[in-house]
Amino acid sequence: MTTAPYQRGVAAPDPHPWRMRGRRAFVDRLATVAVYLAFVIALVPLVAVVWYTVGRGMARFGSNFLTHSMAGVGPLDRNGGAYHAILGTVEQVLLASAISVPLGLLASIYLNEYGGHKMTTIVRLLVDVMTGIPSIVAGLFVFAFWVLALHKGFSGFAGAMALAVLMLPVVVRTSEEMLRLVPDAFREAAYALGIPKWRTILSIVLPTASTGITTGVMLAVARVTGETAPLLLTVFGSQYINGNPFRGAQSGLPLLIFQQASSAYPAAIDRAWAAAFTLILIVVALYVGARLLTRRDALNRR
Amino acid sequence: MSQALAPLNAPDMVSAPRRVRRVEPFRGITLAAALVTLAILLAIAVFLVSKAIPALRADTASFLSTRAWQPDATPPVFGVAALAFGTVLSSALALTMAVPVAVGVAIFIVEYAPKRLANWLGYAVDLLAAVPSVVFGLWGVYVLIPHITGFQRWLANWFGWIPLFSDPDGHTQTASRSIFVAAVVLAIMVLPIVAAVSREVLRQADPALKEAALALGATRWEMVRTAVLPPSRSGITGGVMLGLGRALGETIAVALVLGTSFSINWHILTPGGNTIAANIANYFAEAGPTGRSALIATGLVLFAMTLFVNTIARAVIYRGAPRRRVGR
Amino acid sequence: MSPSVGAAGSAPSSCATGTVSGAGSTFQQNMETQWAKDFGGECAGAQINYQGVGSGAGIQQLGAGTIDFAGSDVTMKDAERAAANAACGSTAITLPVTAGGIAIIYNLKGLGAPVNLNAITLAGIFQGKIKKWNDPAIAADNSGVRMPATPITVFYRSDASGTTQVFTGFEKALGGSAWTLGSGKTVPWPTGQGAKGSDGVTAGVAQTDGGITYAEVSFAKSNNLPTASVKGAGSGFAAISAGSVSTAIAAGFTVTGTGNDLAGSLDFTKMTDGYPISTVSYAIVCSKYKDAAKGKLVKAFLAYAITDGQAVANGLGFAPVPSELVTKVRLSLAAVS
Repeated sequence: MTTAPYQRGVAAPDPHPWRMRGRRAFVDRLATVAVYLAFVIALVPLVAVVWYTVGRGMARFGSNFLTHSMAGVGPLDRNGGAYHAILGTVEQVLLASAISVPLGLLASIYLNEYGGHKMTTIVRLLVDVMTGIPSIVAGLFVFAFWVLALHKGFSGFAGAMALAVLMLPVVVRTSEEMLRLVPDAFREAAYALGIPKWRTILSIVLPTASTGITTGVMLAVARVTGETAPLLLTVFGSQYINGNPFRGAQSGLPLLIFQQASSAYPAAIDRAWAAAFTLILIVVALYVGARLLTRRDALNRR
Repeated sequence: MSQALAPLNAPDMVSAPRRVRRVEPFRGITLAAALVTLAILLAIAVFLVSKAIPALRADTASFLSTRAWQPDATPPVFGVAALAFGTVLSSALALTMAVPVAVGVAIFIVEYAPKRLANWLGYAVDLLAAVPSVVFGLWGVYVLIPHITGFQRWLANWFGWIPLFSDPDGHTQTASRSIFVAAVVLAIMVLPIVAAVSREVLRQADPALKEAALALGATRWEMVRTAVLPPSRSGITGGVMLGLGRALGETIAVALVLGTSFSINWHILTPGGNTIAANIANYFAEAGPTGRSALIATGLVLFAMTLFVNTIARAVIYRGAPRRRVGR
Repeated sequence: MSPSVGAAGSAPSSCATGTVSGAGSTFQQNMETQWAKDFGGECAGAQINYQGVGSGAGIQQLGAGTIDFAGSDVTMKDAERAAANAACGSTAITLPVTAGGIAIIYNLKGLGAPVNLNAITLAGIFQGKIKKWNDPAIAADNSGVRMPATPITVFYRSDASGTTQVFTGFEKALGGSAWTLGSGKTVPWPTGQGAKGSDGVTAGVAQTDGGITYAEVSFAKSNNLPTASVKGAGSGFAAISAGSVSTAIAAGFTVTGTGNDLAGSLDFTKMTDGYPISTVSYAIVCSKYKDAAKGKLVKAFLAYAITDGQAVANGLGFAPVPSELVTKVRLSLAAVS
């Protein structure tokens, strides 16, 4: 039997392929162990942080906590809850997503499917830079522009805009990556069948990339739901319930957590951890909602 | 656009003869979205530059090389040196710790995990992204620092001959709020981002290629190494860039965990050092006009760093050529 | 906890409805929250929203017109005053509303009684010149107490804060040539670890045997940490308490503002009685509000705070404003509309 020419990256034909020998088997076992180990290592901080949050949060978490605000609660009091903050966070995040997700998704479609001239390079560059924007700077921008210059004052909507500024680059970036992964063969096949480009994008490209895009959007949403700094300068914070995100100061869960945790009193710290647990639950609920909405097995290539 | 390989042109009407070239509404919508995005991001950039200039003018010391931070004093003396150093060091450490684990997790979920469990395990790792950054900061202060003190002490004792781990003043004997601890917290925050993106990218690997490798007798790891990882390189790099963006811009968690000082501190196990974002968090509330302006100027330095790293990444990994454009 | 009603001149003379927002000093935050609760309990329909964003941010926002009153540990600079006057459309006046001390909180195993420290020793500790708890300088003030040989770990505020300003102001005035860092919201600490917020420095001290820091006294109590007795300009060592802080403020605070403005300066060298690291915290209001309803509510709220509201100070780790000062504040408030 002549030996095959050496090809980089492909194993030489083995006369006894059903037996893995020596070094290759060892490396394979090693890789398997390494990969399992990586997963365990990733789980350790997850369990540690979530366990700690649940443990400390259960002291105050409950229906009372979820249905009361901090109105009329003094620094030494043991009551009080997060209703106003939950309302604020949910409204702000939903508004922020409503702004940034369609905008970011459509923009990434243009960049990836239609683009090719100078403008696309500039947008890509700006998006890259803005993925690293410190969250407080996003809040500062909205504060200077919307709250001060336009005299709109503090509001949940201002906070939503700051969060949208944080989300937008991430959504554009991940959507672009996921769209890029859709093989050109799909598109070419569609064109060969006479399907117009816009139809191809909507019916073929987007569904193929949908799980990836959903993941990207969820990462962005999860991140901004937990951001404190942009809220400081835009929603201002409040102990009272304000259901109108377009007018008047609101609160937000990250803000509540931060404020309560800075207090000297154990009652406040308990509230902070209960609020943290609530926030994690909200994000998990958003995750589940997103996955249910976009469950598509059709063009999934597994 | 003519290219070596003539692409198929996408017809913009299904069957009618093309007489009038109309602009597709869909393309118009997406173009509008791209332009709006451009406008917003450009406005932010312009705004930040304009806010930063007063401070840069007022600084009596060299902005890039000074380590002190007294922008509201007379005369104002401040510089970004210690901040930039700490930012780069903490982010580099965080990525060094997080990326191998994240990619390993992604490979595990896509290739090694039992199929029925794979999705759920992926969601478990995604859960890490659901934790708010302030909670990471608090957990870091109350749980991580006491527990990691022993490990830092051990590292300093046994590996102190490496300058990075040395501890000349004995700070690791007690709880040390060091760059290392801040980097660990950042790594935990970056992990789910890189893992999630890598997971999606690895899922899209061509099954034909994988099966070809297996058919030729490759072990599972060899198959991953040759058929799955190489085509995924650019996507994973994109995920790493997103993680880097998170690490660079993380404000509250680092501010809570790091024992800051304006020094260039190579001993990562000892307290000291600072990052740009944490500095903004610490000083913004009490800063005067020059102080605020100075903080924004440091934000611009951060942008420059992000731009630099991303440009290199795009040039090296994407090999410079954008995706072949198909159709008009 | 509702305040006593019925003492002469203590019932809220007027109630008003509406919402006002205030922002600023984190030092007085707990007082503001307690007042908001109590005043809101007495006057239905009144919502006082105070956020502790920092004195500097509070003053800045007052100057931008986004809030109705600011809380601050420091008086306004000229440029800030001009901005506030412009935003108010009238003169902005500064009124002391509460007083408190900065405690020296430490953690030292094996020590029974609180340790005595004077200004010069503190200067040495916080600059890293005194490195161990059994240093002769410390032992000199604590005769008869066996000081352990634990190394001292200093925790300072990594964020800019009024608390740092008061402590360093005290050291600058009384630390003599031993203190070289000046005073301000932030100083270049040569030793120790930075931590964010009073909660951060106290957490650091709680985790470190031999740790020492400066923070509001309520943090010491909730972490079960002792506070040092401090000697400043006086002859003896004073422990921090509502009474000792009030005494010190009565001696050390002088009004420097004119007319209704009660901005003042603190002279630590005059605080010979009482706890020497004491300060006041101010509320900065417009003398005439563009929105009359807001003006009425701010006036009623602060009138309550400076009278009935002072009763809650002790329970929260603050001290009541000395009575002569209270009278002046009430007079100034009467002119607010």
